[in-house]
Amino acid sequence: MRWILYPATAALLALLISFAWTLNDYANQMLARILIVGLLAVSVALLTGVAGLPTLGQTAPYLIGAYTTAILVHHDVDLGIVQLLGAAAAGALFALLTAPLVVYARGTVVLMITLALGELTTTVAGRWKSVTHGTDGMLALGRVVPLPGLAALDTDGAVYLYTLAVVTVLVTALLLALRSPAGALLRATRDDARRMRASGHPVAGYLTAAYVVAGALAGVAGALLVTVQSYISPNDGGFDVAALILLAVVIGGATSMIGALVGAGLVVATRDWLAGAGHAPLLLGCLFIVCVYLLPNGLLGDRAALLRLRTRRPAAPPSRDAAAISEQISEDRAAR
Amino acid sequence: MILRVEGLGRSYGDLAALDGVGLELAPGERRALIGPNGAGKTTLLNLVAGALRPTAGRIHFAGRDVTRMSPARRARLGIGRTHQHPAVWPTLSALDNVLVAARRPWGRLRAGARDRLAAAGLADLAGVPAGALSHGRRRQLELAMALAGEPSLLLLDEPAAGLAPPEVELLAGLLAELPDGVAVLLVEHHLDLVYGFADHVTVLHSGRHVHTGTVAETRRSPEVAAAYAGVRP
Repeated sequence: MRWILYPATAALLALLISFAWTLNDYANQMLARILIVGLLAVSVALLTGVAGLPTLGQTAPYLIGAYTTAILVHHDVDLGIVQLLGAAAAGALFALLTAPLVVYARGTVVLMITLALGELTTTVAGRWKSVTHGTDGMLALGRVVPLPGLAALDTDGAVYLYTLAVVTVLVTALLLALRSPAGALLRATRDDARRMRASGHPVAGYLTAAYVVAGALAGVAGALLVTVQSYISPNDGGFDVAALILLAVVIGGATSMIGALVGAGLVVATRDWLAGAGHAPLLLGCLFIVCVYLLPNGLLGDRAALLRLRTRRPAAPPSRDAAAISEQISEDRAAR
Repeated sequence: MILRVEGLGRSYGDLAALDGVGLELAPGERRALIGPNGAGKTTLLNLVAGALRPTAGRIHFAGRDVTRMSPARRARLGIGRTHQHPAVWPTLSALDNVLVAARRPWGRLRAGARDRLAAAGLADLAGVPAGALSHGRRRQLELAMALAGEPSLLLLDEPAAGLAPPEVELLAGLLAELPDGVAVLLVEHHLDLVYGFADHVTVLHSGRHVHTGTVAETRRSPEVAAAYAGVRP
């Protein structure tokens, strides 16, 4: 099957590029939004599926990246690469500062902490009027010049191509990184952090690195959002968006970056194209239930996990008595 | 001494899982730790590995006081271990499990990791996800992983638990081929395996040290017989 992967990817990419000329402005803008949601979903999949940190808080670096870009636009910085680097740095810095709250927790606790971080960021964006213009939002009108010497993006087709190029480069870089030892270290941390510590690995350091990279990716997604819609408000990173992204990741398969992109496409298309007025939540709910029942690992999820499910081999050790469980809890506390 | 444990204790409320145990291990020594269920053997292993914090006593490894060190730092200093329930990374291949456990750049390690897998009897299973391996194969893999970190002290927690007799024989062969310079502390209920492997045997009962001696001395010890017969000496 692998021999068909590269030509198929090239053909898909050529098709996506051709849309800049073959589709109308509305469709181009919608595709660009799907790519942005897809990049945000990739950052969530990196944390949830690869590093084992389920998150509802990636909207925080997303918003911070978007506001950073809007502020740069206000200061007449129209160079795309500067906007992207600024947004990535802001998202990464936010992640670095909040990492101690996130990387030492596990499971539902991470979900709650990241949800709180996302909601706090939305609240700050709504109230810090001198910087963010509050709930009115910020206009960021200006034509982006992707790189010095290139033409400004003056059509929706050009903005779509710019978004496609940025998302393609970043997702490819991430896929390559995940195929390297760094990816194996993260997956091993997700599988069994205790075993990682027993092998001498700095687990918190690895998780912090993943969290910072995911923050930078979300920040870039925020910058692209500002480029596409020339506007940002707290609602662009509210709980609805966070839940939608997690839904996209679950549907696509949390362990697959491509799955996250596909999931984002499905979710946004269902919400904005397929659903009639007011029926989007119902359709999304049905899609979610169908996926959870029929594809517990998502469309493109971990095949090893699927194999475990099929063979009914227990992933966890056999049940133990209360004393051993109490000892395990003490071990975990000591290890932190 | 590579390991010196002094007055080590671990209590859970009023229950003392380990009570003032002392232990010394020379470099390259093979020491078995035996005793009935609840004797505190695994607790002692977890305390030495850093997975548990002691409520009393000190642990010195290679001349350093490691009592308050994290498990990861102890592992980097040279304490390797296996677990009662074999702990492998199920979604990684067997080869990647060994590579990750080795903690060094992979380019130069790949051949060495394959050798380690071959030595553990897993040469044909290098590309198989560890989660798809049988219990016995996981035990072999975890031993290869522990050795990949090139420890100077290896803690083995009931490596024969759940193995069929032919697998125990295979395990005995693997233990016999452990590098000479590695000190081993083996917790095990399988006494034939213990007596065939160990230079010295330490016996715990109800969290207390009962006896340390050679295999021959341990076989003759009335305290050991009493401990296994359920009578506190």
